[in-house]
Amino acid sequence: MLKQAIRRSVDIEQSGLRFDLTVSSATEGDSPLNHELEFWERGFSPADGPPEVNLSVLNGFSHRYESTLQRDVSGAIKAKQKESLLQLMSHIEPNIKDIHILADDERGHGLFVEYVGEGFIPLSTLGDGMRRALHFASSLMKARGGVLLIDEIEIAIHTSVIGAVFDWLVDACVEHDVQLFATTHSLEAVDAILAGRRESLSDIVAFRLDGGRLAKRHRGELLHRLRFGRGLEVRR
Amino acid sequence: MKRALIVVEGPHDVELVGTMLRSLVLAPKPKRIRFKRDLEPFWHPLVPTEFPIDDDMAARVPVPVFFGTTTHSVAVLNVGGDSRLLPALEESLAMLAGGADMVGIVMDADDRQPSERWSALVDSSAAEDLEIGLPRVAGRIDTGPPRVGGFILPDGASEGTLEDLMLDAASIVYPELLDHARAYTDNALELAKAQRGPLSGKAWKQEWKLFVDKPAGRRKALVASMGAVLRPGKAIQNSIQDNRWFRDPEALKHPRIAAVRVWLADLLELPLPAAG
Repeated sequence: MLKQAIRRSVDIEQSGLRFDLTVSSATEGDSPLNHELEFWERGFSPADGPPEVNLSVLNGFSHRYESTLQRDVSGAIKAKQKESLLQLMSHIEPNIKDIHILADDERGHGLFVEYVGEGFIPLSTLGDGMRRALHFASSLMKARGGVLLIDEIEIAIHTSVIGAVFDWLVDACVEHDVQLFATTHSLEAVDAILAGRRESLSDIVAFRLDGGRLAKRHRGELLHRLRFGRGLEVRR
Repeated sequence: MKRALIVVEGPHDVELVGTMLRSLVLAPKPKRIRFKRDLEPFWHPLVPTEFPIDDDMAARVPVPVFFGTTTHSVAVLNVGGDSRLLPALEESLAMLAGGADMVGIVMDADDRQPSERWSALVDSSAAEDLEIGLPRVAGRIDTGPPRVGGFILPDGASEGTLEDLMLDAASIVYPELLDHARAYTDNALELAKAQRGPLSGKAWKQEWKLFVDKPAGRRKALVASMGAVLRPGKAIQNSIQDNRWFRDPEALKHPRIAAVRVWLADLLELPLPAAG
């Protein structure tokens, strides 16, 4: 409603470094608008909306759709980020040599992982964990300089490696300037993540639903104490 | 229902607060809640669900002691040392939906003036991410909400510890036992000094240093020797809980002991207890 109101009645006079902004309601009789406006470095234009941010969103099952993975891998290739993608994957599976989209008799075309010494393996025959890891990596490439949202981060990742996978993901996010937001219902995931980042807990902020309507913010160090110092159930 | 969270330094302090609660104007008298099924859900987030804590099988499980009555529900958390008072408070408040109605801190003055101890705590609270502010003066209650206050043992005005309060109580409730205990510990002090020659330096320190060099150590030994008679084979907190230290009406009239009661009543918004 606010956007519509602004679009309908905004006068901007720009003269050098100064501009005057007048905003009035789209509907006569509406109470005055009272809203904070932020001015972004690249300039503010209400008609264009807020600046674009690279955004990737992963839910708990999107890695199972090969079309999604093909799209993201293709995007990485087009953005000349395939080498980065392969480098990321090599941390998960050192024997991965390359990833290809190849013609496939049954499906028309599909993703194939080329392993050292083993040739081309259809991604569809590999485990859920590998698909999820590829989805993380390719989505991260898409979100470079922006935001990566991962729902239920623990899905398809065995609890014994969730800490290592999270470490890999965080390091990759740092390398590619990606802000990571992840959700989880898993205490094992929370513990593995905290244990893995023990030396850099300040990198982690957790938001926990408090009574269903409010979210309490906990810095990583506090969350670590709640779990390892007090043994408390931090999920709601 | 008013819910109060009180953090204390050690297990003896838990029993002090618990015993004091029973002396306040509460009906029925607060009961210690033993089973989680009897604990109201508000406090469930403070009950640990993991063992061992931080992989340490020797570490105590940090669960509060809960007291309940029809009007008040009180959680008293032994944090295991003064350096953990604020972190434990921060952790506990972070876990409670909506926060507690009353928040209290009970700590020893040790060998510092209470005002100095409290100021240091308040200053360090600025560095923590507490959801509440602490009153600038110990002994006072900020009405908030929530109501927040701190009490520095033994009496809010003197250096010392909980043991000083126990000795005050003992002088009223167990005067003869106290005399025997003093004679015992005085003899032990002489024995300790005599041991400096026969024992090696390291061995002597290991056995006697805490008792000989620290006045607080001698007070603790005095209290412990009485507790050993009053509750043989049990820890001092059991004696505080079961014996008359802070249950005796005359002991509760002692000005230093009464000061704790008055503070606690104020924190919990209860009428001031009648003398005795």
